[in-house]
Amino acid sequence: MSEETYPHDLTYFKEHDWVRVEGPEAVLGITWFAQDALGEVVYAELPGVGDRVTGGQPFGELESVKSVSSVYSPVSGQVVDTNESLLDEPQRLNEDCYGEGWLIRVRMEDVAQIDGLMDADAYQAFLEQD
Amino acid sequence: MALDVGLLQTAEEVFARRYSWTPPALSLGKFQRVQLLPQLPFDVVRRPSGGRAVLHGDDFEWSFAVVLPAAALGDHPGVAVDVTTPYGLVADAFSATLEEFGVILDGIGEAAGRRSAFCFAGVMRHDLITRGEKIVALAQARGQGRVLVHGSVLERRPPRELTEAAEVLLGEPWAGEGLAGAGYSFVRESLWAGVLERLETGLKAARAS
Repeated sequence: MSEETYPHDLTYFKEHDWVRVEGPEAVLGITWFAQDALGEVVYAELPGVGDRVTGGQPFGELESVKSVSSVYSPVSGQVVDTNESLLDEPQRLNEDCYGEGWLIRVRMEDVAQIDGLMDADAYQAFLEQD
Repeated sequence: MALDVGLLQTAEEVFARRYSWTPPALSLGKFQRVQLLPQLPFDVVRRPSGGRAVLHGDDFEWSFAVVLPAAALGDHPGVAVDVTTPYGLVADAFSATLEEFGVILDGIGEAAGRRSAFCFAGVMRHDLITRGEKIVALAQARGQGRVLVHGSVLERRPPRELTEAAEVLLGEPWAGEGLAGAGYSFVRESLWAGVLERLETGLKAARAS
């Protein structure tokens, strides 16, 4: 993804994840800032459908040409879907981090968990902190 | 290697260590897929970091690990995903020490992006190369607020028994003559002492910035 962007219809977590809320479910991914820092992603290890994720805890790992890095969930809940296309095309995380590069879908235990996340403007301000 | 994993999970301050392997071992990158064969002349372990296979053995190579709690690198929001600064700290410490020892490096960051199933046959951005030989390989793992930068210094080509078995296992030819291939030889302890000194200086500068 060549252009830095933070869509306003998403919310953001301090660990550089984005969240798209769809009713009781949340779709998670990493932000432009994160994919740019990681570099070319070559492998994504994700939880399985039915696994539980815990807010603030890692739920998977991404291997890039630079590093293996944990990915953190901003919410607690049960995984209902994972982006299996990343197995063959991990570069989607870099090329379309808000679209085809999504990671997992979670049925949240409590939708109110989203209240503590940042909107796009707050996230960009967060990134600009010294 | 298990200690490296433990440090990544628990270290509360910067920790750096040097270690060697007896008996020899082949470490695989975290997600590197290999079909193991019976009766290999080395142990096979898996690293917490990515990258490709590294042959380890006290006769030809030594390993190192630097664990950095997030606070060691500052508290700005980018620390959580900043993979460049930790690499730079360790690579700069090695390069400055090697240059003081008379090694002329081909250039950190001049990566051809060459990839292989063997770590030392490929070239990635933060590796250290001299006279065309990769001599220091670095890899990184991050999680739980910590960064592990660990790697390998290849002193000379491993014994044929090991390289031939590894070639069969990985399906690619071995490449890498290390420091000896480039015409260099150093006392490990001296090199590591220099790296530690420069690492400490680099960390102070990172905290101050």
